[in-house]
Amino acid sequence: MSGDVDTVDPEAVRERIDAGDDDFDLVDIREGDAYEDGHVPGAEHLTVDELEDVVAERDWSEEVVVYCYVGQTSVQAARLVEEYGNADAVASMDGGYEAWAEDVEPLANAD
Amino acid sequence: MPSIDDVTDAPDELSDDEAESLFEEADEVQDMMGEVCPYPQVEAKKGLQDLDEGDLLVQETDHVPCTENVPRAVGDDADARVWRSGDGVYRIYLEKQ
Repeated sequence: MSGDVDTVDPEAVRERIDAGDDDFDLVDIREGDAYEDGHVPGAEHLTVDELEDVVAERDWSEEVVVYCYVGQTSVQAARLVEEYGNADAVASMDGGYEAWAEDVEPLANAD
Repeated sequence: MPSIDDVTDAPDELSDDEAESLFEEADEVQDMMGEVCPYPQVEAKKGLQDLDEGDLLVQETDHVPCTENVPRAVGDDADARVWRSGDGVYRIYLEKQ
């Protein structure tokens, strides 16, 4: 895929959340039980199948960030939103929830 | 309707006949139905380690993104091709290099 989707660093996502910036859609595409076990604050849950169903009709925020377990399937999911959705900027979160849980969340709890 | 398959950059596709005959010759078959990234990537890399050059590992999956992410994960260790059943089942053919 030429010119693949953008990626965003989990730390940058955290900074936006901490700054109270909810001007973007944050989508967790992992399985339901993984989402229930823990997710990025403010993230909504949509499986890939559900994303396929809603992507074209939904009115997306201008910016969308998608994350999965390790930041691979979220690339395809972000492409899907970019291809069919009405968002201006779509990004996949690098390293997925694994990176968030290992690198970012501990810092958040330490603040 | 939008499909993740539309935006998944999978390797070259096999015909049904090619896929079937190769499947019968596979040196290892991994059933990844119901599994999602990154587990199939990990299993493919492990499986290839135990094979010899020219051997064939086949993963069966219903998770379309794997058809791009698994070949990318194994990189130059294998030549990858894919087969689509047309009803939601995919096979990733990895020939060890």
